[in-house]
Parts: sequence; structure tokens; C-alpha cells
Amino acid sequence: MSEPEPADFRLHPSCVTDLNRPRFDADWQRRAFGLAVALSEFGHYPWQDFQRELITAIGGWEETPVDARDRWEYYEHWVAALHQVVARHGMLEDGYVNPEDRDEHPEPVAEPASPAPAGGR
Amino acid sequence: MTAQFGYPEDREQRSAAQVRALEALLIEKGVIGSGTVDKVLGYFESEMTPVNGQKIVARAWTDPAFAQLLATDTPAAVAELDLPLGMAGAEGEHLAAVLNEPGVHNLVICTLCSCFPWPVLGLPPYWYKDPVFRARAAREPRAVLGELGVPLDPDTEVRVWDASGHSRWFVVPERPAGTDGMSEAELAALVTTESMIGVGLADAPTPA
Repeated sequence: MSEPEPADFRLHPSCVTDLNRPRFDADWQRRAFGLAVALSEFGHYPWQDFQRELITAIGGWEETPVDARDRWEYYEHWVAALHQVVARHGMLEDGYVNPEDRDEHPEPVAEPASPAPAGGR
Repeated sequence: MTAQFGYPEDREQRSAAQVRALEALLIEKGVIGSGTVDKVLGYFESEMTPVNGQKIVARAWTDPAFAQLLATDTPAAVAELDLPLGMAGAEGEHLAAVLNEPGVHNLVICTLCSCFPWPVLGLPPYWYKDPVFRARAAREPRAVLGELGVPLDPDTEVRVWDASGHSRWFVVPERPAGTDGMSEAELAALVTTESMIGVGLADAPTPA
């Protein structure tokens, strides 16, 4: 694993401030964060699955020689992990069934009053 | 933005387009609703904040029995406080507090990626995820703490806690001097996010 010499070490300006709310450098980072959390929260994958992809993406960057890799950008790895976990769970494929519509969670049989709104949340 | 953390515009645009396209596709396929991400973000930004951690720390400062329980069974202690915890799947489980004490300073890092105790600290600051910070804090925590302006007695032991999927550490800093008689709410206001990561101390009270 290669890493910059300590002489290159500088702290981000936010290090000396007290962040009292989530903060992102750009809105797409916030959307990417929210997407990953939302999909996990609504049962499309266990959070650990996303985390594994994130660790893999970051690990790949860290193992790449310094002169052969892009500059560090945490949320690029986040987006890569998000694409991976979405693909692995087949979420964009035809026939993907949302967790709440799967049979593996038997529920009392009741007449549906109306079709469930697509992803209605 | 410094050059080290700046972000080339084309990469920025590419990433933004990717995220936009993915969310649109997921909505189109009915996997999520059009308001799902906003709803989750709204909950996160209003409820999953360091205010929760501040309340936990202030209670630990004023209630020794609570502090004891916090150290031995963090989830049980946190459950006593009626905080808006939730979203357990997103790293809310496995909270684990480590308490600073005279001669012991705790520092939380995550060498793998970003296993942060969101429910009590909100989102991690940017630098927390920086690979240089992670590597250096693990290798030479005392030097890093010095650069961050944390006063450390030479005899103080520095304990580094590496967050993982199973343990999301947060630090209970020492109660500052001169805070006798302060209410829990007043005490909570002294608890910085940095102090709960271990890269800072709790604020000293403002002289009345």
C-alpha cells in the first residue's frame, strides 16, 4: 500500500470546525449517500453488502500505485460501490421484486384494496 | 478548498450525472419512489446528529451509574435516553462508548472505510475518511493529535479504536473543569463532535 509521506499530510479545513449536521461538498454526494442508505433501509440489501463494496472500491484505489490512480475522492468510491451493489442484487433487471412484495415474508392474507403504488414511500 | 481536497470539474460532473441517472432509473423501475431519497436524507439530517451524542455524554458526566452502564453495555445505556435512534441497518447497531479518564485518551479511526457511529455523531467530517488521516492516525496517533492541537501529557496513554462493522466507537471526553452545577443541557453544549471522535477535547465553559 502506498501512501504520501507525512510531509504531505495536511488536514482538511473542516477538521477544526464542529460539524453539527451532515455536510457534503456537492449535492451529488448527498444524493449518493441518501440512495445507498435508502435502499438498505427499505430492505433491498443489508447494509453490510454496501459496505463490502465500498471497502473493495477503496482497497482497489489504495493498492494502485500513486502515479497510476486518480486523486482521492471518497464519494467516487461510494458511487462505484452503489453501482456494484445495485447490479449484484439485480435491482435494475426485469423481474426484480421489491422486498415488501416478496413471498418469503408471509403476511396475513387480505384482499389488496388497491394496487400498491410503485415504490410508494 | 485546498488543492489536496479540490475536485476536478469533469470528474465532478461525471459523478453527478451517474448518480442522477441511477436514481432516475431506480424510480422508473419502481424500486424507490420519487421522494424516497429526500425522505431518508431529511430524517438523517434532522435526527441523526451529534446532538444525540452530546446528550449521552452530558448524562454520563452527571450520572456515574449511567456512565458505568455506557462503558459496559452502550446500547442499553443509550436506550435509556429516548433518543431518535433508528435506521439500525445503516450503522446504528453496535454502538460502543470508550471513556476518557485521567491518563487515558481515546481516539476513534476507521482504517477500512467509513464505519462511523452516525446515530450519535451525524456524518463524519471529510478528513475522517481521508486515507492519509486514517493511515497516520493508526501509525502515529500521538503526533496527529499534537497537530490537531490536543494537549496530551507525555504520560497519557493514547488508545486507538478502529471502527468496524461490529463496533462503532465513540469517545466520552472528560468533563471540563469549572462546570460544577451546570445543567445537562448546558454541559451538552460543551461537547464537540471532535471530542467524541477523540481529535479534540470538550469545550471549556465560558466564564459567566
